[in-house]
Amino acid sequence: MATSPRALIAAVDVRDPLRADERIALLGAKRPRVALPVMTKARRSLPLLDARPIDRATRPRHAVWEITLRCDQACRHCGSRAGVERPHELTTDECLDLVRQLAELGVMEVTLIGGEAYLRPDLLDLVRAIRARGMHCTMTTGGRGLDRELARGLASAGLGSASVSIDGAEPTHDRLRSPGSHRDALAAMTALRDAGVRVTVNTQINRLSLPDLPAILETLAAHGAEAWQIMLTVAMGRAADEPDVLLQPYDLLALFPLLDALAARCDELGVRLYPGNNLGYFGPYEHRLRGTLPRGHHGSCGAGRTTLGIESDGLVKGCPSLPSDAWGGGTIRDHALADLWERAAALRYTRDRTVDDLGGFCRTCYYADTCRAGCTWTASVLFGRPGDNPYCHHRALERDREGLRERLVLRAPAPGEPFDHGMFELIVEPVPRTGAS
Amino acid sequence: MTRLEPCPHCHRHVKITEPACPFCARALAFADLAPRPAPRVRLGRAATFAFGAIAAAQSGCGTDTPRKPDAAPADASRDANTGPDADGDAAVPIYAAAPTTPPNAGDPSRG
Repeated sequence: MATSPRALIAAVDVRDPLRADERIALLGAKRPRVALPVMTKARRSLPLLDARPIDRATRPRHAVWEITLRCDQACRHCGSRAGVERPHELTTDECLDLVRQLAELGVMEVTLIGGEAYLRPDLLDLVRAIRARGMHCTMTTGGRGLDRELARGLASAGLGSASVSIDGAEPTHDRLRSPGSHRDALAAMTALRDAGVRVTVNTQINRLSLPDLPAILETLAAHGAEAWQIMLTVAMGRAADEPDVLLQPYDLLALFPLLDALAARCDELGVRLYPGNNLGYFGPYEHRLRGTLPRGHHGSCGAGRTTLGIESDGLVKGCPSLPSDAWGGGTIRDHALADLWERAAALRYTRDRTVDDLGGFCRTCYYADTCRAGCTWTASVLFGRPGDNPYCHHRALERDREGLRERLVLRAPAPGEPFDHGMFELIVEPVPRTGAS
Repeated sequence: MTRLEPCPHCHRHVKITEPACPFCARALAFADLAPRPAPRVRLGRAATFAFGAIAAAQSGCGTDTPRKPDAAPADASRDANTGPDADGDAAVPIYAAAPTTPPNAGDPSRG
């Protein structure tokens, strides 16, 4: 007799990575920092290289564009520490010219993010311009101030879909974001759907939200979400200030069986499950989570190959999540977008990356040639360099088979700037006999 | 880069040149696998993620769901997808919207 997806979820040992007292303490913890950040650092301006054939042949299909860093929330896991707008954000004319350049570069889809994208008064003009250039336009939002009028405006401007962030059941979500934000996010989903905008949901997975995942799925399905993107919270920005909230690499051993059961429930509910690029790699559920990709599995980081990231002052990166200073290729105020894409060393990194660029476990991994340490961002903000990514289900399984586990310990805190990070040490230790975390 | 396929026994991806699964030690026989069909046009994010389901449906051997649980038949019918632009392995950047199928997704020239 077939087992129902709900029964599969119930059968998974959804071990809370936190003890009850730890959960209560974390839910009630005060913010480590209270001041909102303002970007002050001067940006690097490195000379561009000569374009090679591979750089001219490689074209981004998807651009993720932070149109403002201004935000109406100050989420405690926000990698960009959004809140205050950047000092010199692009003007509307500069944005419209960038839309032209994105289309000419061959971008097929533009996702507008923030901060909070709707706090930029010319949002609808940008959506219309993107659509007029033949590109698909989507948006990611916390939904705090996304009312019915704005939803109707977005629909008429041609927004294809909006992804609303839901990071837990109400207590978890409101603790991570702001009081009342869970209620507002659900109201935004309703407003968008009623206006005719297709709605999806994105969820960050951490030690607070992991046990909430089954409840999140039921909630998002009840509010008409068509798809659910899930990704790990990464130790960047404000998330680096609270390392106890982050998953430990060995927590993936409990997470992935749950994801397998949730995938079955998604099928039942008609919700498409999309694992983010930092959720992997190559464990026994890879075929379940990514079986429909052209290769049937994860490949490697797409930053600078299929994806392009833009910050609100025009800085171009291979991926929107990468730290600005180390991974910014230059700004569109100084260079044409195509020149940055083809000739900036920071954007060409993944085009050239080989196994020789990897370190630690990843260098000798069975999947090294295909995976190349997965998400560049996730590893970079832990150790200050990419190439050794402990957030890997295959790796956790292999360590576990040896009776070992990997644990991250914060050794140097983040300085407190947008897209900053601390420095972590990776401890390899025997698995505790009692399963204590 | 050696092509990977899920072991039919333990579902871990293995190189198709392996005589036995390095994870469960069961014997493998991938020698007769057909090549994977490569996309003929650039695929957008939604189309990239739906590619396997589309390929499976067109070949008449897949499921009617977007995800294929147990590998073999449809997975085995696809060719390695090479080239920087065709690398459809990173379809969902973090902090981007989850892809939905755009209204024009049925037109392959639009991806």
